[in-house]
Amino acid sequence: MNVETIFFYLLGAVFVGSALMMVTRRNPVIAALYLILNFFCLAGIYLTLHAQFIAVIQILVYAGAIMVLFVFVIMLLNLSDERRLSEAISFKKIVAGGLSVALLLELLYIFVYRKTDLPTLNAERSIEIGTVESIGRHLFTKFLFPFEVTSILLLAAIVGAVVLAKRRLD
Amino acid sequence: MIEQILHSLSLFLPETTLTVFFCAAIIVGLVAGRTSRASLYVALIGIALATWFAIQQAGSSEGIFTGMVVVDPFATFFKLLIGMSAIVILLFSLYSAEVQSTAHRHIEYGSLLLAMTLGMFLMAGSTNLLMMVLAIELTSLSSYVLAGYTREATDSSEASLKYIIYGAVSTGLMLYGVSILFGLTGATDFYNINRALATGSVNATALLVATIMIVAGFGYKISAVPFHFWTPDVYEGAPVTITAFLSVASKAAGFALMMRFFKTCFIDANALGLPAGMWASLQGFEWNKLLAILSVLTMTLGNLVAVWQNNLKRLLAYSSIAHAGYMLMGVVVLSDKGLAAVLIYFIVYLFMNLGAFYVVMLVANKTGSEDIDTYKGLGYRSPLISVAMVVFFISLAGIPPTAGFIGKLFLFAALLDAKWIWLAVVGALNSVISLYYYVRVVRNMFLRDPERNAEPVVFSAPQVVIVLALLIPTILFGLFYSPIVELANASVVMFGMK
Amino acid sequence: MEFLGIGILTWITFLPIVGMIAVLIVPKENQSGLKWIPLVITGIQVVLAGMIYAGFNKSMAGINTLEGMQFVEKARWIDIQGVPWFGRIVVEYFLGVDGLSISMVLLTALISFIAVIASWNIDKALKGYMAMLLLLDTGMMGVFVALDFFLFYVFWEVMLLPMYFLIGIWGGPRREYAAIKFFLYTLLGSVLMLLAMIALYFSVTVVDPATGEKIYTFNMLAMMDPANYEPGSLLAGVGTYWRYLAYVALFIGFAIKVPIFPFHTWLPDAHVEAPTAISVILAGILLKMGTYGLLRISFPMFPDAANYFVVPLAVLALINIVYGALCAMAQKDFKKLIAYSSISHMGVVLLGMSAMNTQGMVGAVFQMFNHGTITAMLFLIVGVIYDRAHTRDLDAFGGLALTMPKYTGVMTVAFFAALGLPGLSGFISEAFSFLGAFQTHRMITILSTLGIVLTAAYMLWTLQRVFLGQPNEKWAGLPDINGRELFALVPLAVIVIALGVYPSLMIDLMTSSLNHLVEVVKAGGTMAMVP
Repeated sequence: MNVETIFFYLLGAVFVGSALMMVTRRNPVIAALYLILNFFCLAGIYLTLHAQFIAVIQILVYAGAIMVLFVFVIMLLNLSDERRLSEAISFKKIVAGGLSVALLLELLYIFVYRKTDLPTLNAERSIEIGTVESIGRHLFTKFLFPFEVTSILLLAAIVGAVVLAKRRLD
Repeated sequence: MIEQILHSLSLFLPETTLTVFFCAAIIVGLVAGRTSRASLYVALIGIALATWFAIQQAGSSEGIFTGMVVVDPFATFFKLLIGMSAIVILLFSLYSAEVQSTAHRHIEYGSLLLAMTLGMFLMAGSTNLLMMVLAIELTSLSSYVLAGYTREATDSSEASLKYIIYGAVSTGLMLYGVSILFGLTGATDFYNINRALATGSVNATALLVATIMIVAGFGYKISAVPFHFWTPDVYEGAPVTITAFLSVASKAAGFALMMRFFKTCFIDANALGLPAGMWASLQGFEWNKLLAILSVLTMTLGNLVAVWQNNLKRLLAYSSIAHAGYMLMGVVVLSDKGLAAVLIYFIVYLFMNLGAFYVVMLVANKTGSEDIDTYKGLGYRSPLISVAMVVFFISLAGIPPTAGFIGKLFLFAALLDAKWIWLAVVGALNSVISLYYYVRVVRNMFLRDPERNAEPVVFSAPQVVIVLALLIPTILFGLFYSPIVELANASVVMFGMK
Repeated sequence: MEFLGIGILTWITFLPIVGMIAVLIVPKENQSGLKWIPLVITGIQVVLAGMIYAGFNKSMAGINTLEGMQFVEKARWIDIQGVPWFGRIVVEYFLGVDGLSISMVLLTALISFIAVIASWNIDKALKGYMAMLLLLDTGMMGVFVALDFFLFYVFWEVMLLPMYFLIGIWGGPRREYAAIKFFLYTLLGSVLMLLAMIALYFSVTVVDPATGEKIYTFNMLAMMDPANYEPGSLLAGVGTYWRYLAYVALFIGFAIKVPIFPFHTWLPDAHVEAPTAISVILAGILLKMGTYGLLRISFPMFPDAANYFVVPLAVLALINIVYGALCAMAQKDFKKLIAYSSISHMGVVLLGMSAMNTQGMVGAVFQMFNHGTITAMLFLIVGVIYDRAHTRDLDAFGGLALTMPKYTGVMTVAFFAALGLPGLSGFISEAFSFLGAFQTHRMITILSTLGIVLTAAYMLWTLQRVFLGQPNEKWAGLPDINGRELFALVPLAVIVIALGVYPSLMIDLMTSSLNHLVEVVKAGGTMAMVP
């Protein structure tokens, strides 16, 4: 077991743990903080995959900017009086829970007990994959089109946000 | 690289037009003032132009932008379908009391309709997992906002919330499936996935799990059971125009993407010894069995629940779920015949479903209600509109001599040709159930005695013209269906597939 | 025979549509116009039917040969150039009559005409009523002259909606229930028929004379020729599982229309709730479509299955005859009684068909015609009394013979025809059916004759309850039958008597065709015996 594997399991454990904590916390501020921890772990996993640039961006954008904004909003709005949407355990929930567990077991079965011939990346090239240069090159050649479509997506999202915000003003 | 991109751009004219008009709609709306209809007209022109450009592309078959999207007859067909329904929806919107009552938000309405149309155009042509997800996101995002657009926050919160949560969950599941598929094959491009699967070394169980998760994303878009929970609430809460648009265009785009995904990823392009037009699955992966189950569940549940609905929008929502089930039958058979049958069904469905929604909108404009009781005696108060509604419903139920029958006929034909007898029988029985709830509305219109002195309901000339424009094809294509069949036959060709 | 370059069958089929458009144009206030247009249109239809009768060549057999069909009209309706994986799609506009359908064409024209007369005092939404009636007329006529399965199916379904409205809007108190029940039952049958039709389509190919390529076809005549079935297709071969299944699907589709037990429950409801004219059409024409479909489609296309299932068919016929008669006996409602008597009489048709010999077949088809005329009379008679007394309760009447002598006279003819009195048309056809069936199914036929006794019993009993006995004071002032009603009833009575005395008028039309049909079915059946 090499260092990378050890790091992966370590980070993975914290990653899953923090995600669970985030979902189960009642206090939104604490939940948001767990989410930040979660993002940091994700960034760490990116690093073990030689994706340095993405790891940095992950921390800067998500953990840094967006989550801080979230925490501020939560604190300012003082959402302590959270209302529960529904409490009772319905038939649907049991079925949903059962299906989720089934899916989890299935996935575990596949990835743990079955040999899968996953395509492996060339180790020498993989060092370069995560660099800014390599990402930039891909982003503006092969993936130029999705990149541009994303900008339209964001524009549409802004218009949508305006609709929601204007509703308050009306 | 630059030449390649420039060449791609020339084939990307419809989408470019939509993007330009998307921005134009915002700017024009801001200049023209808050309550102006200018944005709606800009959207109308933009979509009409884009559709026109899409028609110009008929016959070309090429992958553009380094294989991210393709322009082929299949995509062109769906662009035409989506464009046409968007035009009709915009015409509806000009006469919709709901939309006109929120005139100060016309800018957002027009521009988001354009964005949604753009998303659906991209869905029709995507051949890459990345593009697939992006296009679905663009469509969904616009429709979330449009669905909760007119009503005040408290009213539509449940519908919008349900829509977004279900949307997020299914997109998340789909992304997970996409990542597993990428992990298994090392490719995001549909054709490369096909090649990787053709080597036969991919773990079948993992592939199945990934496919089920991706189907969740498609299922959400086409509102197939069990991903349909959002449909009735959203259809009821949204303005009728948007409901109609979701039920036709959004569904069409979802089907287009799904059929392309399954055909280009999982079909053995070099299978030998099959009759023309029949497909073989790679690695013996029988994903169509999965879709068969989905199809039966979808149409049966849609039809059975529709029987109990008293709100016309909800009734049509469940009916549209059922119709998604019928159309899934066409995908199950693994043949070009099945694919063509789905395309034929969509042309027919465009006219009859939009027509039914339009009548619902007109009646709601006059009476302010979509309840089935408001239709009592309508047949005597507004004979033309009611007769049109009867024709649309009869067509939805699939009874000749309407176009809906032709749609069903070709679906059943494809099923029987591939010896899927039991599925055909289930579909046939379902159409009998569906007749019951359609006839409930017809009964209220004609059989329930009108309040004797009720005034006749009069509709303006342009409104009647729109009804006729949808009514005449519904009957005409039932009697002379050569054009739609020929169009569908020519449109099943996908780029890069035999 | 052509007028203005259009064949006579097209005229007789689509003339009502022309009438419907005329009715829709005429303003609502013009009540007499709205009545006279349909009357004139259906009158012309009767004349056209008469011309077909006059020009009909009795020696030509038809059934499965194009040469034997008369007044043929054939044109390409849909012709979609094929792609390799779909093949060419051709649907033909193909009309023709032979000995099997001629009697039904005559019946349809006649009953439609009489139905319009019987609708004279409809006052609610007359315009819509007449438009629907005429649309229905086109559908019915089309079913009997279509020789392309697709065309047949379209006509078959076109009838549904007008019928739904005619029962649902102009019917009795429980009209909504009766109308939707009729609609759903019939649609259930027709979707099964649709599946069988598509399966047939993909199994049968013919060579297109124009281009020489092999094409799939909906042509009924081609579907009757075993040589046209593509080897390896779903319905190829003889006596296979799929062929039996397709036969059963078709059978259910037609059985619902006949109606054959246990699919009969829609009939009493529909008959009772429908207005008089529509009951006349239902019993007079619509029920015949089921048996006509069996003879035109099921028997010659699936002779192997028809022979295989012949005993079950005879048993169902027995059940229909006896069960229908028993139910009729228990009824207090005049219309319901006649409705159940229809079930019983249609059982006789089925029994004749199950005989699989010429005698039985002639009896069956002749019984179809006779039942059409006789039951139409019976429903008209009920209509007459209901218009006056506004009740159909059999026990409420008594001694009507004194107050309404003319009415009683017509009624007696109809009743005696219905119970099969010699000298009236019903006797001949029933006798033929039973004689034919006796040769094939001895025991079942003997049991079936029980139905005749029961029929005589309930008919006479009814006659006694309504017309004889103590006159009920309440109905003392009832006016006798009027001229318009007589005008509707007398032609039918004349036909019933004329055919009773001289049945060859009708039987000669059909013998050569039915002979041929029996040969075709027998030949297909014996093929099934040889493995």
